[in-house]
Amino acid sequence: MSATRRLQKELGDLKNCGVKAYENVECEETNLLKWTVLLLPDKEPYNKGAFKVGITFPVDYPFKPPKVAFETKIYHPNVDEEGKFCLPIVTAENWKPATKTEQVMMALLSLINEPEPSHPIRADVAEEFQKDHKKFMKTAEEHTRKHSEKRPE
Amino acid sequence: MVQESNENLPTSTSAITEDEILLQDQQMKRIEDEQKAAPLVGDKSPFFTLIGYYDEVTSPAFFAKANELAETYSDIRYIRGDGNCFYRAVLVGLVEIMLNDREKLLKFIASSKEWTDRLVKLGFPDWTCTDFCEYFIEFLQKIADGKTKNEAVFENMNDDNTANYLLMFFRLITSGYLKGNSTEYEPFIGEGMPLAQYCESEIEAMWKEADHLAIIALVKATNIHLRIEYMDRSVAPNGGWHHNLPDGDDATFVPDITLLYRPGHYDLIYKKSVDSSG
Repeated sequence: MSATRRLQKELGDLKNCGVKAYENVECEETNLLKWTVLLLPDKEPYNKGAFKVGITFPVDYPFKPPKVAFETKIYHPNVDEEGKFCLPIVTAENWKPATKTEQVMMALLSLINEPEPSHPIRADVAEEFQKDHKKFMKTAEEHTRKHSEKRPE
Repeated sequence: MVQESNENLPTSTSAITEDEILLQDQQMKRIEDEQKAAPLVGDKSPFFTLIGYYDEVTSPAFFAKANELAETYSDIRYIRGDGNCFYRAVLVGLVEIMLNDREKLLKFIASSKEWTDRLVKLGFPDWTCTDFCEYFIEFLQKIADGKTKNEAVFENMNDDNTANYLLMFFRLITSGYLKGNSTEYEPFIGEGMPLAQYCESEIEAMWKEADHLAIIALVKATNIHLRIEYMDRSVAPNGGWHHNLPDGDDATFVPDITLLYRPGHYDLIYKKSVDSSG
């Protein structure tokens, strides 16, 4: 499997990269193609929680992009209720085999930190974000408190 | 103000995009399945097999051109049409040369090592890029050390996993050549697109067809003489028309590799040897 060569190295890299923005990088014991990463956004209203992200790599990785989705619920204009979002760097059209998972995580983190209400997945949340930002912040904070994981010490 | 922001909020965005994505996925899968019916790299077959693809009555221009080319070329190696065909054809052509010429093989290993360093200096992501380079160099080194026999080389090039790694090296040096000579090549990119962006979206992504700029860049990066025979509906002048890369006079130009271009696709072709043309 061509994916193994690359994934073993990437997993080690991501675990040891020392970036504070994501932690607890883990892969399933019997399946190197399934990872979870704990994402730690540093901007309000998401900076009080941690969000689990599932990454599924195709067998022909790195030639096809990984599928990435939130496993933790998040109240965000660009993430739907099932945790799916649109990240250009991992679309089939834009994918480059030299792209590292670390870059994908950074792109996701910046989307979470800086929502793009003009390209929403959840139109209702985007509308609230733009028209009643205060209310949006309050709902998102509550949502984070209720659903997100604990940030590692 | 309120109305303005409403424009940005088409309520059905997510539904449309998801349907579109699904449809796109299905289409891509279908195209992929069709492509996979053909081998990545076919065996060398007689050139006249090409004539059989064209009907004298319904496609007379192609039929005539195929017949004309059959006078010069003895064999053809069909390459799968999956968007990688140009890179793959050059890869196979080069490997064939190196299998018969140890000196060229060792030289190419050395230049591939130089390319690895050059790519890093050009700012390509370290180790994901160099990983492709190392894989390619390892592939050649095993041939040099006699660890991979000739048949196995072709088996490797027909194995998706291996072949993708090898192709990626070619895509990277193509992109690297353009990025390293950006002032010269940037003006040729349309619509004011920055060269780096062009390289990243059109060359460094797999299954994207090579255009003229990519072709020149790979020829220069690999230091080969390439001839492309064009086969299209234009009425071919006597002897057909072809393109030598880098530019060269027909009288003195000796191609290392010759490709046949049919609209949107490249295959490898081989000239008749002098004694068999009789």
